[in-house]
Amino acid sequence: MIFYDGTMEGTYDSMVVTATATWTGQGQIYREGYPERLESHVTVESADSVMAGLRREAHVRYFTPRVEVQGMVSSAAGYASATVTGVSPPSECRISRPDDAVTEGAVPIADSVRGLLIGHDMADDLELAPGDRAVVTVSMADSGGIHQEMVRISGVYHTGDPELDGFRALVPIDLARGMAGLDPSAVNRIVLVFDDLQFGADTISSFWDRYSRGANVAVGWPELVPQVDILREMSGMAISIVGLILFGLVAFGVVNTLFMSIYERMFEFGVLRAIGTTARRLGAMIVLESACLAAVSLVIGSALGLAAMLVTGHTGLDFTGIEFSGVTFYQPIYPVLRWQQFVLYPAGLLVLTTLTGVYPAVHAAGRKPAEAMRRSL
Amino acid sequence: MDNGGIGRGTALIEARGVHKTYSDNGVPVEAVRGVDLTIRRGEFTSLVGPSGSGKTTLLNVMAGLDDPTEGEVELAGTRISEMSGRELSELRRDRIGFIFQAYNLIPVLSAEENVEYIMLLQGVDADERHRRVMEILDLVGLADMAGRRPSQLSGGQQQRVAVARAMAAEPELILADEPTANLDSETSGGLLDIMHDLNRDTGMTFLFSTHDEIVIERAERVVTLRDGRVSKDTAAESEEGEG
Repeated sequence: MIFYDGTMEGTYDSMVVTATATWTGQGQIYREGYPERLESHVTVESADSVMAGLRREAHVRYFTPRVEVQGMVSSAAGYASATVTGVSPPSECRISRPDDAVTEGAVPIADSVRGLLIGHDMADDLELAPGDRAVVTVSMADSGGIHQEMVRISGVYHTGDPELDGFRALVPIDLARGMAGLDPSAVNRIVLVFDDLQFGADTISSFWDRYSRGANVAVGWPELVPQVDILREMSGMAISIVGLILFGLVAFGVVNTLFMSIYERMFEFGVLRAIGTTARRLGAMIVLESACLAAVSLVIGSALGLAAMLVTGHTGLDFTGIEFSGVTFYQPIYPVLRWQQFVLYPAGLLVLTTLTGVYPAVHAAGRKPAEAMRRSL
Repeated sequence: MDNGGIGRGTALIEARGVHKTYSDNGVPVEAVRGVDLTIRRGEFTSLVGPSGSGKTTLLNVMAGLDDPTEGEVELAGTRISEMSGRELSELRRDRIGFIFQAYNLIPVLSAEENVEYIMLLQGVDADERHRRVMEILDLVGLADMAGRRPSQLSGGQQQRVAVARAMAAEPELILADEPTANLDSETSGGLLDIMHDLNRDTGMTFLFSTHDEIVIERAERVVTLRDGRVSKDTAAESEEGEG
């Protein structure tokens, strides 16, 4: 139970880290309605002053602006729809780490390069490799007209996330603004990373109010990646169900063991009753015995749970590449140790075992001494 | 306490019209069929009879270990059948000592702790317990083996610990169910000497169920059971003779 809880907690943490580290970030600022419409002209209000404010925020470790334009990438082999995303490579590399995901070529580091970084799946579909030419077609922000731009493939990345690898193409942010006909300071999203992951879930912090002013909205990762919270609910339910099953098995095992032990020792109990032990005292002895049995089991079980947690906490459980609720794990899951695991579960088990011991105790203590001695094996 | 002797002590325990039927795997077994028996204070009595004659069952009923199906048992004027479970436990703890055929010591406790157990139930304080236990173990010749567990003692020594345990609460009555059945004749004789001395010196009343000739020879009174009924009682014959 301890190990299972630790693994579920680790899965949750890993999912949060994965979901927030790859692309989404731990928080975002955008203009209200942008995520639903995804129109490039819906930009952050006063983006420069917002970013100036973010530089002064103690909890904000990194942030990066993005411009997103819906369009198409074409090659001689075909075309693919794409969200052409303008990024600022130095700050983007600290957040979504495209440089780590590059398998061929490099991240376009300057606007002058006019380079396009595409995902592995898109590169396969369009038969593109670094150095190849491709045409990016986007719709202009305000006019709705079409803009085409000839670019060179600067690199190919592979994240394991089908949406990123198949449908997203990265270009330097100024190039994207130019293609979409946006102002030089226009930004569709500002992606944030905090010094503490949990700050992104801290809804009572005044941070969110400070940046949700005017037309802008600031949101943390629980809102950006709601499936993580769904996972938490699911894992809570799973822990409850597994807990019920395990505790039920334990209760059954304890009753079974105690009954076997009691039947084997019925003569002894009869003797104890015969020499003056009251039924209540005998019952209490049996309950105490089951509690002691539980206490010893708890120490052994907790030690085994701790050992398993320490080992797997060091080596990790390798689920890399496996997708769950739209999040693809890119690192092993490390079970999480919590004090509750070593207090609540053992305490629950001790109470359960002690209570479970009451029935066999009543059964044994309620017999007439002579009957108990006759019934001995 | 003086030994009252046969016919001279007051009645300590009395069974009147006791019947006991129990179920053995669904088959009713009528073990005791209308027994009337009075044991007087200070008596040293053997209850004899063939296997299945109802000796152990009668002892159990007389000690409140089992309920009679019919009839009643009185200990010093108090009806056992009217006692609550707790009162019965206290009765067995304080007024009746038991010695079993198979000793039935608690295997994880030392000889000293086995004897001490009843005093612990009585709430005797630790110093007093230790003093009395050592005194009793000395009486049965086991003071130097107080720390040994039952598995480290011979059968005779274990039975002497059982006698010491039965004496621990200084009961009025000691019931012994075939106490010498697992012992050789020399050991049986030694054990009987101890119990006889106790009977003589303290006036404790002893009631044995036994097949053992040595026990029967040493008993002052012999009650014979056959098919769940008293078929012979030397006390009754003696009283008739006197009459």
